[in-house]
Amino acid sequence: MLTNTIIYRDGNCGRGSVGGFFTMSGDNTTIYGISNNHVIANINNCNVDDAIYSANGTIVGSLSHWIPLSKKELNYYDVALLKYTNTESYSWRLPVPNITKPLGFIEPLLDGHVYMMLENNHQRLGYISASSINYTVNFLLCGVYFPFTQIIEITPFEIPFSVPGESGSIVMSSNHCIVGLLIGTNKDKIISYAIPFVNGILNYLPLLI
Amino acid sequence: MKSVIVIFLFFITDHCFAQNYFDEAIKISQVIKNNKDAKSTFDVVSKSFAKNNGVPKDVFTDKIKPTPPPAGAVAIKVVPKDTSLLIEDTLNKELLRQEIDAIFKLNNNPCPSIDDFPSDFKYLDDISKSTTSGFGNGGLNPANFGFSESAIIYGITDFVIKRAKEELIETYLNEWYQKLNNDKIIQPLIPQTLSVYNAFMNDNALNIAKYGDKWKNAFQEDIRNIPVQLQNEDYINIILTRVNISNDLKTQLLPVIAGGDELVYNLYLKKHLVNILAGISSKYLNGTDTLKAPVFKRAIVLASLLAKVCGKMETNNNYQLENIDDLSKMDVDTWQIFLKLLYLRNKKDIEVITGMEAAKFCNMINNKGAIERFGNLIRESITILNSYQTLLSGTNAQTTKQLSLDDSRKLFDLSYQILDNTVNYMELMNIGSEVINTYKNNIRPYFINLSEIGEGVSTLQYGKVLDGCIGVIRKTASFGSNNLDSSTIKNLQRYGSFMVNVLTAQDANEVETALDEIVPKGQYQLKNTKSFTASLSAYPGIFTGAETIKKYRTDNTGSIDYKLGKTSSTALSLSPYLPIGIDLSFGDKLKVRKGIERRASTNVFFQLLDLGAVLNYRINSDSTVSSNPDVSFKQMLSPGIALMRHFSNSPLSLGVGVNYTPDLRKINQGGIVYEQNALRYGIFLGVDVTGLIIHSSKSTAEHR
Repeated sequence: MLTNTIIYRDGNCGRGSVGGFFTMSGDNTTIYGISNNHVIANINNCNVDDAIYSANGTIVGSLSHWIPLSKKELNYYDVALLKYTNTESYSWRLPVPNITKPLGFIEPLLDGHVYMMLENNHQRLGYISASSINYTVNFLLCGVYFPFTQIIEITPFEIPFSVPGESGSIVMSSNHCIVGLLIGTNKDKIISYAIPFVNGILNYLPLLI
Repeated sequence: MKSVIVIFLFFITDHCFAQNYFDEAIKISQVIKNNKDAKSTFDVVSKSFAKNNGVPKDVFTDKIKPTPPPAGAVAIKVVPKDTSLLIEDTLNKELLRQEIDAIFKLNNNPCPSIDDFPSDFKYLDDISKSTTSGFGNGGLNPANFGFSESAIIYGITDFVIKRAKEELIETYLNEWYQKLNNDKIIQPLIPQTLSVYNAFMNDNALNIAKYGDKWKNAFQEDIRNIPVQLQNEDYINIILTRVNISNDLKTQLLPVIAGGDELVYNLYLKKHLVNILAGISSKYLNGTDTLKAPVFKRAIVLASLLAKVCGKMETNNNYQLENIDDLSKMDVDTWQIFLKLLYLRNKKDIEVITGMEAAKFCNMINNKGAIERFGNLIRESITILNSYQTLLSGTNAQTTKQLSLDDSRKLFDLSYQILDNTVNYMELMNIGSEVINTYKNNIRPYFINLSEIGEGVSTLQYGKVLDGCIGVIRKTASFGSNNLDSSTIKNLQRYGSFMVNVLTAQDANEVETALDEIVPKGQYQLKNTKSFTASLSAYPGIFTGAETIKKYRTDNTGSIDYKLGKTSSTALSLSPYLPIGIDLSFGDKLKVRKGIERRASTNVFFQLLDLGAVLNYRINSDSTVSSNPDVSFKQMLSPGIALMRHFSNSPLSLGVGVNYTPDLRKINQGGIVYEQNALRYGIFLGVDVTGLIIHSSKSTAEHR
């Protein structure tokens, strides 16, 4: 199993990607994959242990954790974790052969260059145009609008930075550290948005690379 | 000393910043050195803000082991970040990036032209510290606290140029004082300015701040005083007499300007329109010209009367209007009684309005058709007054110090609408077409300019006050048979613009720009216009021709043979040309072609210096003569003479000339190096930059 590959939950409105592989502190045996709530938790309409599949229909894991989304209040996270089945092997999809996994987590830096790996091992490149937006973006997730704020804004060097199906992918910094988790794009698909790990996801899910 | 005092106008802000220039230059130089390899602002910004260089540490160290949450929905207690800090943080980073950008541009351009160059580097300390620590460069090098020689030379040159500019400005300011003080229309409008001017000229004190504030206060007082001055009937009389207005028209126009201005000024003072009309009307009713009152006075009296009957002024300065719905209950008979009451209680007003022909009003009372129309006009008057009162109540005009532009415009417009409305009543009363025409042709055209004055004073837009005042004077001149001397309007416009620019200037540079604009440009036009002009001028351009120098003859071995003496060597010469000297100009007779006036002149130019001589290129194959001359003051001294022609209506000039430059060329013959003078002759094309008119004849070149 490689990062940024397609996964889905039965009954969900669509498909997304699994961003990466982590353990949690105190437990080295369980491998978790990260994605969005709207990809594998069906915008809160889900249960623990719901099966998660890869693109070819193979079960790759089960739903373990999710951060609830709210329609009425501002959201800061769109995150869910799946617990991998032990039979899978995991590796990080990175652009340089001598680095096998991300070098760490990094907070989003204004103007910082970022990239996202695709399933065909190509990269999308961009830069952080806002490390934490101070406006609200209403994402249409599974047909429902959820307002988000204080997320990372990414401007691509070549449009687009992300397309449908890539939700849940990991966004990396130019020095191969994890910056954020992709949620989606604006209406014009010119700007992409991601949730920061540092001072973000990691405050609630103590993930280790 | 005067020049020193004048300095403040340019440099008082610069003076406050001047002490940081050296410190900033040193730190910027350090930043540039330490970021030689930086490819973009991003590199420097990233390093300025990056917490870690290279690989960041893992967020969770061994010391921190948060408990993994149980499976399922992860409870979150979100405490949103303080958005204002976020914005400030983003803004601070943006400001930082702008400063770094500016530093890179400063370094990359020999003569930088950078939009929005920071007047103060807020982040320079952070930039210099963060970037130096990234490159292992510790602290500032004390030896760098140096004045380079070229900096000193440039500093002296800048000082000399600036001082020359100040002297020139002072000369022109003195000329302006004479022009303005001697003009009987302008002088009463700017008494404070002229008083400060006079004191400035006669005072050798070094108290810069004293005159700085005085200038600005004087300008402000004078402009704000314009609407007061325009109420002065003696002053208006001067204008009317100057443009040779007929006595009849003078009688009509004088109250329009004075009274109309009194109306807008009192509106600016936030008096209620009804009270203003009552006050002015009362003055007119007690005047001596009630027999055949001027039309404007009749309109004011009528407007005041209408305001009296259409409503009631309450003690809290609120005007309570009659209800229009109640008027619908009035039939023709009731209106007739109304009109009779109006007549009986306001006989004097009606006599003034009708020009002592009250019978015309009585005729209206007995005409049912006229009564109905009168009723409609009353409704119209109530509507206008209602709009005025509603606007007044809705704005903060009564309580705050300043009206908004929109509110002030509406208030003045409505006020003049009320006056316009009176014309309809006068037509109804058959007062006479002459009265109506006088109102439409001679009175109403002033309202727009008077409104502009009122708007300008109300909203502190001094430019509007001036424009309005100039509009009033120009309009008055258009009614007269004697054209107002165009210099009066021109001087008022130009100097008024200068006053407004100084008042709105935010810093010394803007004041300098204002002063630059008042120094006349286009002086070459004077040369083309006048029969004879003498001036100190420059003609930057290009010179081409021949250059002759004398060299020693050499023997067969190539060594100098002094016994043979020198021989002339001539070669083509092409150079930028910047001669400075005395220019005697003889204007051509005026020609008119296709309706366009064409003026040109012939000039004899006595050259003293040529700053372009140092860039003179010698085009020949003689390897003994250096092509690029050494730069020294001696090469700039270049006496010569030229004859030139100005192109029609243009500062461009074509000429032939000869000049002599001592020690321009360095010659190397047989190892002996010596300098030689150069004689140049040829043609040139230059642009007339006239620095100072020394003398110009009073007569202009005659019409052909």
